[in-house]
Amino acid sequence: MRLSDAELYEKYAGELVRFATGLVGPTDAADVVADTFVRVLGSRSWPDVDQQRAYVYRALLNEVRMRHRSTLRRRAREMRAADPEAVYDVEVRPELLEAMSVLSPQQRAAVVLSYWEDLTPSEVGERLGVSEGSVRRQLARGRAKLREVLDV
Amino acid sequence: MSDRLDREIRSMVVELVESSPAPHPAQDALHSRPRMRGPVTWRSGLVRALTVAALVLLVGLGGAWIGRNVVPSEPAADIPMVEGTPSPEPSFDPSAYGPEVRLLPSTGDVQPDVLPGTLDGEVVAVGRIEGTNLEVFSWYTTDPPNGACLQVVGFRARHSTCSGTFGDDPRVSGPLVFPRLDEPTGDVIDVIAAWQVPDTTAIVIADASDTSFWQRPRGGVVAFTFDSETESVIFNALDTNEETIRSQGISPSQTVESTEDEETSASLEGVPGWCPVTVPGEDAFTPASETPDELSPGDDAVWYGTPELWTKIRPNGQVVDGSWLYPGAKTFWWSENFTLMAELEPDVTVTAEHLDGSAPIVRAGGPGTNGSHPDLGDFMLVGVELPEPGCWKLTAEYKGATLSYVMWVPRRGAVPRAVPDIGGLAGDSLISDDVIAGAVAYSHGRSRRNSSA
Repeated sequence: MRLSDAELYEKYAGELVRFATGLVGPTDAADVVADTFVRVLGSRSWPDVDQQRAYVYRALLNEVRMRHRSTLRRRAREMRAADPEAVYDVEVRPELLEAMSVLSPQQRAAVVLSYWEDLTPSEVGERLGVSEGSVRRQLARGRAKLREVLDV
Repeated sequence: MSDRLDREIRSMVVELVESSPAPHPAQDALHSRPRMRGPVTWRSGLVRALTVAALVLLVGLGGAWIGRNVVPSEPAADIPMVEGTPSPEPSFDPSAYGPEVRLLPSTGDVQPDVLPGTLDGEVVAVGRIEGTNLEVFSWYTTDPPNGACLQVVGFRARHSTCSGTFGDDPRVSGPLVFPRLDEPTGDVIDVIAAWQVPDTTAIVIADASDTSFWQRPRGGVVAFTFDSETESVIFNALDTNEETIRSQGISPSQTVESTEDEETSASLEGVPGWCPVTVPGEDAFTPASETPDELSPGDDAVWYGTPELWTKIRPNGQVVDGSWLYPGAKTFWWSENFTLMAELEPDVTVTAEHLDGSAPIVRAGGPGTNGSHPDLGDFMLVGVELPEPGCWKLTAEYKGATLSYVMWVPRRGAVPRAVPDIGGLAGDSLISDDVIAGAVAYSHGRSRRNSSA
């Protein structure tokens, strides 16, 4: 059954913000989700979309891709340079953001959904509307990059 | 090791995701689009204030300017335009990107009628790139005779910018620099395509989820996008009447529209379909009355050309070996108008045009040298060193006669198994499985323009 716009937002906004947090960090996550919904709901093709959830996830990933890749790195840098009071409000370590910043948005998406939601590559692919093989590749490359960054 | 890595990643992801904020309230997210950018510090407040002031100033100036210049309204451009100096042409060195980068030939023809109405521009090129960590860049160049822009796609040119002018567009003056999208696009760029689109006000390039990028062309543009999952391209073009035209359905199965006159190979192993390698027909050469019958081009070659100018090429398709990429490669030419003893340095020239890459045109000869051989008779030689592998069109000129053929040169990494003989026509044919990628769209378009000029 097709959900109304408001129903869709209420149902998926929470998980999408969590997903977006894994992609862009907590500061911009809610904005990214809001922007994604505005873009999706204004799309001409939206009324014809069957797989709404996958469509929104993919749109969110595209929204993230449109933003500069260095967002996380810049954010981490800003945090380090910020006032102590500002740092006090930060809920995530800059090192964490820097580590994630080495990943492409697609790789971040695969990593977040795999490690946060424990989805299989097939399920990740279904969620993002991409093939299982693509997820496996992104995940493998993401892990390889993180192995270097984390020095594991 | 792997378990530890997984634990580290999981810990990191959990920490990151658990820091997620609450979503914006639905009424805000879906209507007023709040822009929450974090706590306001004196610095960020100052920046915001300056930004607002700048916007107000820009709006005021823009309104006054529009009042003086009656121009049609246009969509807001997502791509900021700032003045700057044009960047050099992007070049492509396949050795820098590893063996995985491949440009795959397309397998069909692009149908120009997918671009209806005013979008009936010429399809310049379309292809498919596979590799790792590919990136997309858009690149503009000017076409001086028309003042038009040409946009091409390449990859791994993160630091390049594109520039161009929009002809006599009153809204734009001076050189422009378009910071391009420099996000990696993943493993496959499914389509590279280029269209000259005249009389178009704007083009919206959209992917399957309607993520849009506005371009502001006037007098021509190339438009495309790529979606590895849907394998589709969507164009939304506004013509000069601001009417929206939507077109989609370009897929990797579509390919370059060949306009070459040469007979082309049906399928040569290792040669992409878009390279119109010359295959001589039965009547490839009409011997002149004085052409000695006892001369032979060799076992693996046939004469090709006219009595005024001919050469020898492979009978089943002019595919040569990698020796053409090294110094010393020579081309051989014959003419019934050539007299060995009278022309020690014959005025024969050879031009090599890279049909699938960004290499500059190679010019050689003028003069060439002469030579004689019991089997080959008297001939003219011109040394041609090609800088890159790929699809090359060679054109020779001698005493008003012109002869062209297209050949395929495999990548340099393929070490010749046999020393090539003269002209690089004999010896084992080394057809690498690797197809070299390059700025195909641009080069192809440029070569066509040059050839038509």
